[in-house]
Amino acid sequence: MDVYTITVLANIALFSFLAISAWLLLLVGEISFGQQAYFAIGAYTGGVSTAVLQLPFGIALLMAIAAGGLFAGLVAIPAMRLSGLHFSIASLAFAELVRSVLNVFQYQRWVDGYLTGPDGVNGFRDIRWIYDAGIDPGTYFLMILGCLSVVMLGVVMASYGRGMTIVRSVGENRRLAAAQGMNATRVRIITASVAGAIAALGGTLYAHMATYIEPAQFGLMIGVHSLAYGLIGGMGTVFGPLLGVLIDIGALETLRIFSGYRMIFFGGLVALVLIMRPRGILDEATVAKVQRWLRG
Amino acid sequence: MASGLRVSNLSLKYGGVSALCGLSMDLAPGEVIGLIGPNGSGKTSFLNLVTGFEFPTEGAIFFEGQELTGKSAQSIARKGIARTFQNLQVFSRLSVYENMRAGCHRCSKPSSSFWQFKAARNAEKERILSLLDCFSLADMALDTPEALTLVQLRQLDLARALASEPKLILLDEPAAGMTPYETDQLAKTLQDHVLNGRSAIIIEHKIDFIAALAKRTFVLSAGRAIADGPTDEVLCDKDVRRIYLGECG
Repeated sequence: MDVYTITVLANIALFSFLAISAWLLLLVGEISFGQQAYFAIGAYTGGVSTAVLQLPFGIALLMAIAAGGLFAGLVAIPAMRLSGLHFSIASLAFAELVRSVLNVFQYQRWVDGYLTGPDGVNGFRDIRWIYDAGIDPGTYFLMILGCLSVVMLGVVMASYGRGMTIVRSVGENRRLAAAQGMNATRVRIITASVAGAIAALGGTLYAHMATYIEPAQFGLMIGVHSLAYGLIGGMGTVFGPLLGVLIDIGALETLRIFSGYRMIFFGGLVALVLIMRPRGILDEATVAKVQRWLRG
Repeated sequence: MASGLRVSNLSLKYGGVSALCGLSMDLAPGEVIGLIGPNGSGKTSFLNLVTGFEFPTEGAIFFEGQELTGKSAQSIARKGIARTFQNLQVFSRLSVYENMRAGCHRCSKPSSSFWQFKAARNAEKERILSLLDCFSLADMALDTPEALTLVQLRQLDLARALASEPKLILLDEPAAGMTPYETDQLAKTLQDHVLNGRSAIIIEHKIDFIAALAKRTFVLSAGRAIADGPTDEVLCDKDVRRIYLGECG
């Protein structure tokens, strides 16, 4: 595979983390415009860990996951008192707050003759762990794919257990979920925390691939897109948000025929899908049909 | 002392309107009570109070000696009290099987190993399929509730409540919308699979249904208890027949 194809595929995989993160919150009944905040937290935490603190990449991933999960959990505790539009606005406000903080956040150190670390609005250069470690783009893509597979396996395992049933129950009808003994608030906070951790994992992988990040990259539009991926792809399965990413980045952004018109097509597609299939292409009913067919 | 449900001096007010006024009731373990009364008499409000969906203005609720007053709906459900709803409530985006798994949540225990988890999951699957079989829903396990008829939805609501293996089950008009034949079938299913030794309170407007299932009946009118006793006696009570059944004289 040439480097261009690998980059496109890596971008699809990276944005899938963000899409799965927003999709999880949709399942629990909340629309978040702010998952890019945890993507940014993951990117900066991972970047600082390897580039400034010179920690191993594995530790950087764990620190990013922990930071994303922790921040998302802490934000969720007060935010989950809200619901609907109020929650959406709160999530957006937090994302903008994170971006504003990153605009003034400076933590630079001399490492091997380079001044590296977050430099406010000027961004964060030289996150060059993959180059220092001699990892080629193809191998790094496989590493991203490996992490994505672990996340998806986690969701599939949660479906095999009772985890996803609980999340979907709370998302659909909190009152009825409570009657089954489910603590809706706890479920929503844990889901938000897991979603934050997943976004942060994607963020740190993104930072190491891009080698340069800046606060402007984590704006509202990334949040809107990550939300739209789940809505287009479908709510019935974890493959739904992936399908959404594939349609947007894999087709609309990559194919030259949409050049310059991508956002128009994307916006139109979201509107069309929401009208014709309100729960997305791979909605719950479609997934149930496929499961029935697979089981004969 | 192992006691069932005890409700004392329960009142509920919505602003200036009294939905329930000084209601007291004792339900022994394994006892089945029919709760009847005209529309707006406070039957569903009573169930909402017992299950933590609303909080009483006055009074106290005890179950197995533990006070439930002011406890949340989920903590009450975890104590072994399950309910169905007058306005049918199912998880419409979950399959019939997943609805049942949601119902199993209360009695689930964390597993210490994958094999223990797998064994618990298999046992749960068997229990769910057996329950669905009791309600003739086993063939529809993978369907979403939108494929079910009203009667099947009511059966799913009931089966899901049973999935939690409750000690006390509260049924809010389980036979609403059913034909006489379907009502008879439901009464038989309840008798065979639901009420065998389990405490229950059944709200229903179909008197024959109550008479077939409950030895004791409690009558509410305008939030107050007007009769409580053996079902056959209560149904012959002059005031009950006048207020609830609309008989003159």
